[in-house]
Amino acid sequence: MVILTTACSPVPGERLLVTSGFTDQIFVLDARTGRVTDSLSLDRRPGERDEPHSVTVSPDGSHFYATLSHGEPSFWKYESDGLRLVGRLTLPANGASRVRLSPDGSIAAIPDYWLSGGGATSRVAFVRTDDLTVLANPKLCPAPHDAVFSPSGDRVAVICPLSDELVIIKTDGFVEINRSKIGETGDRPLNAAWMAEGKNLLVALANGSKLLKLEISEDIRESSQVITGTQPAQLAVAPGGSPVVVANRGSGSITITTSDGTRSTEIELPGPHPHGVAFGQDPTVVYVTYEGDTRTLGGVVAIDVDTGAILWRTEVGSFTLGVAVLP
Amino acid sequence: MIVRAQPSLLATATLGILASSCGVSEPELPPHLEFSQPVLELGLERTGQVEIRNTGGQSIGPVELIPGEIREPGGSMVPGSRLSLDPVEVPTLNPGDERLLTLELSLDGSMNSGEYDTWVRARGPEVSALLAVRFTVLSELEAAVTSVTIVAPSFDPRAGDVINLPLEARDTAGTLLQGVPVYWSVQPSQAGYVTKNGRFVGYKTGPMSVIAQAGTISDTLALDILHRNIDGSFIVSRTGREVERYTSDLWLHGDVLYSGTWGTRQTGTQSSFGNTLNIWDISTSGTTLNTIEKIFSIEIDARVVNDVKVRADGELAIITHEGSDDALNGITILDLDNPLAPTVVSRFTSELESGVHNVWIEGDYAYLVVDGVGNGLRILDISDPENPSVVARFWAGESFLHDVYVRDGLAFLSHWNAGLVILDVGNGIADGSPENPVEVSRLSELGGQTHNAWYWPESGYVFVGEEDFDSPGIMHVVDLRNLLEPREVATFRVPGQTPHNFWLDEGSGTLYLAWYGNGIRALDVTGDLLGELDHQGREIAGFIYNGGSGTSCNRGSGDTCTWAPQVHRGLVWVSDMNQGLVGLEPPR
Repeated sequence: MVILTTACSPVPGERLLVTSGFTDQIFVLDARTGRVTDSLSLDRRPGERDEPHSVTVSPDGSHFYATLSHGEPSFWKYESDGLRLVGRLTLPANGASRVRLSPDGSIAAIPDYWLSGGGATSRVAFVRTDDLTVLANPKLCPAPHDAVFSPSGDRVAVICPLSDELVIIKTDGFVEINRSKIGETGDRPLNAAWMAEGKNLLVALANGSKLLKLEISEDIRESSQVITGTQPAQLAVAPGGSPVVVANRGSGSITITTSDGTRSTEIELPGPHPHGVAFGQDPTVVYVTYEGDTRTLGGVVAIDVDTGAILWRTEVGSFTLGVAVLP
Repeated sequence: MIVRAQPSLLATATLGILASSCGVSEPELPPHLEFSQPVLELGLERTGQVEIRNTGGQSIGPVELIPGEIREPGGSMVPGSRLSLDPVEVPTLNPGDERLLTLELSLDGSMNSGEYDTWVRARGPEVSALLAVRFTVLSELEAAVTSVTIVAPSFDPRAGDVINLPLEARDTAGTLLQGVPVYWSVQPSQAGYVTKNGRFVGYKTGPMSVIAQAGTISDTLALDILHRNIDGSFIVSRTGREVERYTSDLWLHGDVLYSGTWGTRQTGTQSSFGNTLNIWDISTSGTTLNTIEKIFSIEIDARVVNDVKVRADGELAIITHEGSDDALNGITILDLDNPLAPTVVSRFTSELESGVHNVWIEGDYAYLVVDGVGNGLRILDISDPENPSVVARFWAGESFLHDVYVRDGLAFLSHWNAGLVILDVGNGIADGSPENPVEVSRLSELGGQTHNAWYWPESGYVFVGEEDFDSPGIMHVVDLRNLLEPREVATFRVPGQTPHNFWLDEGSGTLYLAWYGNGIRALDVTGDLLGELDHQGREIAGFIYNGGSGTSCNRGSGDTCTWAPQVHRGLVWVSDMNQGLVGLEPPR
């Protein structure tokens, strides 16, 4: 009997994708160590600022997507294998902020965060990721910032900072089915995350310094609040449903909390203006970007959510914004 | 005896299992682009359709569709004629996918009759395909012509001189025929350019012929084109070194030079940011006779100070914010009571939160370029600099505004893919004012990426920059003698890089063009302008003053990377992203 041994090529571990808004790059980092292993240029206009903003990975890990906010806003599609650009769509929009994918990865939602529109009603582009066709582009509210698919994919929660509203769209036909003012006037909701059961939505209020938990059914009803640091930006729910981590841009910290706020901790970050939050497969480790400021670079930190310990920190980018995990 | 054991089925199967568990698989065919036909014959039609396909095995995107130029049979480019494509970019093509591409020709009325060739290139990452396009321009009344005579000029023109060549076409009765289509050509080909109306400009020096044909009758005019004789060279006279930060725009007033800063620059382990306005004294020397000294700096909340302008009376300046920490951006107004140590009067951010890229000051009004599609121009009343207010807004309806230049009550908006847009802000032609700007006209067909403009009222021309890093870009000359109908009449190119900002020395008719890694260029723009100026001996000098490849700025190095020029007190000052400031003796 012949015993055969062979060695497979090593499968890379998780990697982080991080957008650098002022150097027009996506940096790739080893999620275990924080070491920068690669960078991608999204510099369409080398003499101007284009600002890669948000990055997200398809559920099967085969592709990742990014938005470019400035110039003529665009939506970029990459194959994860080889980090190869395979598509770019100029968006029918005046600005672009976050990008979110449906649970099956077939549709992307990109709000037109048109801050200088003077309050004009703006849109969310729904794009088929396979061929980058715009399926729908409904007008919803002034400068929507986030548009999150429900866990079942049947609805999208659109967050409207300038009108302090939440708009619920059904993905069948992309029509509005519910709308509600949330928080107090001027609270400026910015980002949201659905709970795993698909009935509750967490919304970060940038000026309200809190997280609202909303029950979403035929009505929209606030069920609880969690006090965060100032200017909560992005938030993410750990795999398994708890905890929730919120980046507090104003206070330079993150809040790690249960969704009802019964247990909540605030941890200071070693860099200014925390912005993006993402979990990988390990629910005990969260990755948080910080923007830096006009005198310092931005960066990424990995944090143990159980202990609050900073596992590593890497200074990378300028105006560092979004983060996503490549499996 | 040697016995060779055949591999057992078990071993083969084991190998197969191990191979597949290692992810070894058949290699995919790469992506492959092709058009549904290699040649599109339009004939007399002005629109057509083809398909672009991915016949390979991998996805590809984005696929840019790039139209060729319209050139006459002799090879000279025809200004004002263009091939347009829809779409201009296909976001992605999966294997087996195809997309319909519509082509449309827009032809200038000055085109000669004949057969023309152009092309379309489909360009994806590392893969491309080419489509040949052919079309015909036909004329009428040709059959009536029995004699043709070109009226010769009374002098030998220089290369770049535009001359009118009147033509007499007569029938058998000797009657002068009006409106006869004439086919003009130049021999040798590419020695010059001649329009359908007989306006001619020579590109090469020496003997050449201009031929006019109407119907089957032709006449040949022999010309001897003289050299333009406008050689010159730049000489470095002063320098101001800034290597900690990238330098952006500059503005000089009196004895002071103000320069902005840009982006993030790493030198070793140190990072420095574009959050600073630098102030330089040009009246005295620095550490050496030829250097100027940075006297003062102002730090603001920004990651880019893209522009600085000083009002003509020298009393105030405005600097722009992008990437501010407080996300409000806007502008800062500075008091120049002490020009070498400005003080902040106010910061204004309302409606400017997405960032301000450029500014122009005209009296009590500031014209601001607000970043982003849909934002456009904001006009501020700065009569009370402590309390400015937005009094007017304008957006061209598509794309984004990049720059603004105001002259003679007209605002020239360089509006990226919407082209050049001209507003009445006090000129009177359209009853506009700064508080009620009215669009006078626009020229959309300028190839996109319309970046900057300089209007020269005396000549009636606008010099418009196209900042295209892919092509690379060119400078377009637009004839604005009829304000309501701007039209492109000439172009200027320097291969290898794209242009940035311009400054016109109107006294000498010299246009100074910053050309990034290709340094500073000086162009003679006197007289009428027509055709390809880079073929006419009109470039007086080009200077890559700090070396470099000429094809890239190589940011962070010491290579030449010219952002903007300004003529001031006899020198051409340029801001250089990598090295700071250079004051040059001009070539004429």
